Amino acid sequence: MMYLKGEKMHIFYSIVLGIIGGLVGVAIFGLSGYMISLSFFEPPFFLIILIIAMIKMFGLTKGTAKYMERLLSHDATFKMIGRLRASYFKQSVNSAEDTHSVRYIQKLTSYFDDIEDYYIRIIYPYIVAVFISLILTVLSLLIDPKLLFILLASVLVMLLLMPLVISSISGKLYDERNSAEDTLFTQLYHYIHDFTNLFVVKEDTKVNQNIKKTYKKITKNENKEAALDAVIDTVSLLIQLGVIILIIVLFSGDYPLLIPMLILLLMSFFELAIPVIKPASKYKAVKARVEAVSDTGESVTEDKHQSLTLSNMTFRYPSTKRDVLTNINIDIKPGEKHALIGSSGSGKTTLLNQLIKQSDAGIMPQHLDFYNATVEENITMFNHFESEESEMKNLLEQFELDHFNPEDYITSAEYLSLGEKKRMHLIRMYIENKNIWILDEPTASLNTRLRGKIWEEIFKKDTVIAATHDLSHLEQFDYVHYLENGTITESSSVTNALQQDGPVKEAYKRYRDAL
Amino acid sequence: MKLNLNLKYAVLYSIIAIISVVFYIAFGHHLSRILESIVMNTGLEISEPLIYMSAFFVLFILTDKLYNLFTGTIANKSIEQKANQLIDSIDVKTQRESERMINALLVHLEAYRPYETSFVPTIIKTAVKVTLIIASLFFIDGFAASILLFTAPFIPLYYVLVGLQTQEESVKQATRFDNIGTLFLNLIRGKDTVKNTNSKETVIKRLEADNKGFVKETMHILKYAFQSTMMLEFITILGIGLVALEVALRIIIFQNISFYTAFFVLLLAPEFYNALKVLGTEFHNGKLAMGSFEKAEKIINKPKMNTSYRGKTESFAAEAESLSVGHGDKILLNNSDFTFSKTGLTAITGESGAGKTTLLRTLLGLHEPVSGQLNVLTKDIGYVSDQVYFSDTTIYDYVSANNHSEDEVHGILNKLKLSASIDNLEQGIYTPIVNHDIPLSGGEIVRLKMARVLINKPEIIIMDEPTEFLDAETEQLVMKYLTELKETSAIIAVIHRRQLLSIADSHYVLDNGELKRGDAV
Repeated sequence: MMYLKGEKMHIFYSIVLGIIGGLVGVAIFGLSGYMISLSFFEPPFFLIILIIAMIKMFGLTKGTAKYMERLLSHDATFKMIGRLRASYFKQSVNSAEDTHSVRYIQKLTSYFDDIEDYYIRIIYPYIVAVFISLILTVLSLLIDPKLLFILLASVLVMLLLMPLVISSISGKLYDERNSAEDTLFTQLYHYIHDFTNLFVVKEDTKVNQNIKKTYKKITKNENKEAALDAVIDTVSLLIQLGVIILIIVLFSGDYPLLIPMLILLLMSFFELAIPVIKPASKYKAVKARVEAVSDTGESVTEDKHQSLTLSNMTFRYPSTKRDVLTNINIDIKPGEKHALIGSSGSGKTTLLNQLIKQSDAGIMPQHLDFYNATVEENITMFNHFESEESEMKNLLEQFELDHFNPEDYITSAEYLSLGEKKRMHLIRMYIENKNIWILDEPTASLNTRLRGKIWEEIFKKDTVIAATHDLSHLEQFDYVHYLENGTITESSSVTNALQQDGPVKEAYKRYRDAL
Repeated sequence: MKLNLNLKYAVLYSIIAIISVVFYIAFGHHLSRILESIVMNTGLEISEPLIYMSAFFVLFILTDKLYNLFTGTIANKSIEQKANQLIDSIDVKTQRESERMINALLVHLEAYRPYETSFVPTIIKTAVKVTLIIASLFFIDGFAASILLFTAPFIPLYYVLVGLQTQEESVKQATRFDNIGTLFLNLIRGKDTVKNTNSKETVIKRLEADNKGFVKETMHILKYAFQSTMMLEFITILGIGLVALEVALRIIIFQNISFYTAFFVLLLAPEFYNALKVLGTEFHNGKLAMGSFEKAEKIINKPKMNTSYRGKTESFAAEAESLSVGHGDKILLNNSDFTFSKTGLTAITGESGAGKTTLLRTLLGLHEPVSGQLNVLTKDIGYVSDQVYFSDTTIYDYVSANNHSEDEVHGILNKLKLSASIDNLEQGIYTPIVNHDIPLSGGEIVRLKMARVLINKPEIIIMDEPTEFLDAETEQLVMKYLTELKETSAIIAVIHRRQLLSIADSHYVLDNGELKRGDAV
C-alpha cells in the first residue's frame, strides 16, 4: 500500500470503501426483490440474466471493498496505537506520577482499549452508517418524496435521537462499571496483601463476601447493558416494522412492482444501522475518559548537577500533611562512601530519591524494573549500553546467575526472584559504568555469600551512598548517617560513630547480637 | 470445542430459539403473501395478513430479545460463579503472584465473558436457524433448498482448509501484539529506570521499531485471513446468485412457481448464508476467548487447602505427630514430633531460609503440611507477623478490628507505651492510614501490630521476630510486657536476637529439617 501515506488517508479510504461495501450490500437485496417482481411480467430473458449478473458483480464488489477496507482500517489502527504508545511513553518518562501500581497499569490498558473502541467501534462505523443513510435517503427521491420523509424520519430517530436519549443511560452504566472495577481492584489488592492478618483475626470470610458483593455489581451492570441492548433492538425493529407497513399501505397502489425491492432494501439497511446505535450513545462518556487519561500529569523538570548535597531540606508528599523528611543536611564529596541506616519507614528511601533527582549516578532504586525482553536487552537497556556477550556471560557467572543466557527471554518480572533482580540490576549498573552509585538496600533477600560479592563490587566504586539494613560491611564505609522519623539523628565518620554511644553504635551492637 | 453449558440450558436455549425462528419464518410467510397480492394483483384482502405479519414480527422481536436477555443472564451468572471461585482460591500464597490473580479476575475472565454471553447462544441460535430454514424451504421449493444444502458445506470446508491454516499464525501474531503491549506497559511501569539510565531515546526507537515490524508481518497474515473472509463472501454470493437464477428460470421458463414462493426463498436464503458465516467468525472468537479462560482456570483448579491434619489437644498449646512441612520439593521439617507448652515463651531460632516462618504459618493453619498431624489447644491464635501491611483504615479500626471499645484500645496502647506518640497526632487514634502512609516510626509500627493482637488476649500468641526495629528502651518494655503475658498464655516466637532468649522458657533450633532442643534454656 505504498500509495497511501499516513493514517489519515487510510481512514479516509476505509470510510469510502465501507460506504461502497454497505451500499452495494443493500443494493443486492433491492435488486433481487426487483428481479422477482419483474420476472412475472414476461420481461426479455436477457434482462433477468443481466440483473442476476449484476447481483453477482455487486457481491464481488462488496467482498472486495470489505477486504480492502479491513486491511486499511487494521493497518491504520495498529499504526495509530503504536504511535500513541510511543508518544504516551515520551510524556510519562518525565512525569512525577508513580507508575508502579498494578491499578495504574490496568487503567492504562483499558484506556488504550477505549481509544481503540473510540475510533474503531464508535466513530468509524457511525460515519459509514450516516453516509449510507444519507445516500439512500437522497436516492429515495427518485421514487417518491414521501419515501424520502419516511426514510429521513427513521434515520433521524435511529442515528440521532436514540443515541442522544440513551447517551445518559449508557454513560451512567459505563461510569458505574468503571467505579465497580475500581472498588473491586482495591478490595482485592488489600485482601491479597493483608490475607495473613485477616485470616488470623478471622476477618477473611467477611472480606471475601464483600468482594463477592462488589463482583455482583459487575454482573448487574452486565445485565443492565444486555437489557439496554434489548430495548434498543426492540425499538429499532419496531421502527423497521412501522416503515414496512407504511410502505405497503402508502405505495402498494402507486408502485406495486417496487414494493418487494423496497422492503428487502430497508431490511438490509436496518441490519446495518442498528448495531451503530449503542456504541454511538457511548461517545461522550468514552471521549471524556480518553481525554482525562491522556493527560499524564505534571512533568517535573529536574536540575541535574553533579553535587550530592542536601542542605536544610524538608520534604512532604503532595497528598500528605506530614513532613517525611525534616531539616536534612547531607554532603557527599567525590571519593566518599556513605551509609544511610535507620529503621523501616524512617525516610531512607525518600532521602535517596531526593539525591537521585539531582545527580547523574548509577542507581539501584527500591523497586527494580525489568521488561519482557531478553536478558541482554534488560541489562543493556535495549542496547543503550554496549557490552560484549562474553563480558555479560562472565558477569552472570560471577553473580551466580549463569542459569540465564544473555539471549534468554524474560517473560515477566515475576519470573525473577527478588535476589536475582538485585544481582541482575547490579550487572546493569556495572555495564553502565558511572562513577557514583546510589543504592537502596543492595543486599536485601540475598544470602551471606552473595552479600559479600555485592558489597565487594560496590566498594570498587569511587563514590557510594547506600541505604541498608545489612550492617555486615559498615566498617568499610567512610561515613554513616542514622535516620529516625525523617531526621538525621547521628551523622559522623564510621570510626567515630562506632566509638561514641549513639544510635549507630546501638544499631551496630544489635546487628552483631543477632543469632 | 466444548460449550461450557449444561444440558438443561442447552435444551431451554434451543426451545426459545426454535420459537423465535418459527415466528420469523411465519413473518416471512405473511410478508410474501402480502407482496404476492400487491405485485400479482390477486385481489387478496391484505389487511388481515398485514396484521398477522405485524403480530409475528413483534413476537419474533420479543422472543429473540428474550433469548438474548435470558442467555445473557445465565451467562453472567456463570461468569460470576467463576469469579467467586477465583476469589475463594485466594490464600496466603496468592501474595507472591498477586498480579496474576488480579489479571485473572479483571482481564482474563472479562476476555472470556463473550464466550458465554455471545458465542454459546449464537452457536445454538444459528444451528437452529440453519436447520429450520432449510427444513421450511424443502416444503416450499425443493430445488432452492437443494442448492442451499449443496453450497452450504463449502463454507465450513473453506474454514477448515484456509481458516485453520492462518489461525495458528494469527494466534501467534496476537500473542506478539500482546507482548508489544506488555513491553509498553512494562516500560511505563519501569520508566524510572529508563530515566535513571538516560535510555529514553533508545527505548522509544525500540518501541517504534517493534510496532513497525509487527504491523508489517501482521498485515501480511491478516491479508490471508481477510482473503478467506472475502472468499466466503464470494461463496455466499454464488449461492444466493444460484438461488436467484433458479427462481428466475422457474418463473420465466418453466412458469411453475408462484410469486409467494419466489419471494419467500429470496428472503430466507441470505439469512441462511449469513448464519453460516457468523458461525465461522464466532468459532474463531470463541477459540481466542477460550485461551483467556484457560489462564484463569489454572488458578481455579489449584488444589484447595486441606484442614484434616488439624486436631485438638487439651494438654499443650500445640502438639505435632510426625509432622512434615515443606515448599514444593523442599522439605523444611521432616517427620517431626514436638510439643509446645500451654504457658511460657517458646523460642525458635535457625538460619535464614530454614523454614521458621513457614513453621509458624503451619501452626496458624495458613500453610498445609506435607504429612502428619498437628493438634492445637484452641483456634484462638494471635499472630504478629514479620510483615507490615495496612489496608486503608484508621489506627482505632486497625487495633480494635471492630471488636473493642475506645477504652480498651487506649489501654493496650498505654501498656505498649504508644499513647504519647499517637495522642500527638492531629486526629489521635482516629488518624487514617491510607496508602500505607502511617505517621509512626518503625519501632512504633511494630508495637501497633502487637497491640492489635494482644488486645484480644489470645491463648496462643505467635510472633515472628517481635523485637526487630525496636530500640533498646522499647525492647525492654516489650520484653517486660511479654514476661507478664506468658504467665497465662503460650507465646511461640521466632527470634533473631540473643536478648529475647533470656526470657524464653524453652528453646528450639530449626536446622536441616529437624526441630532440635536448643542450648539457650
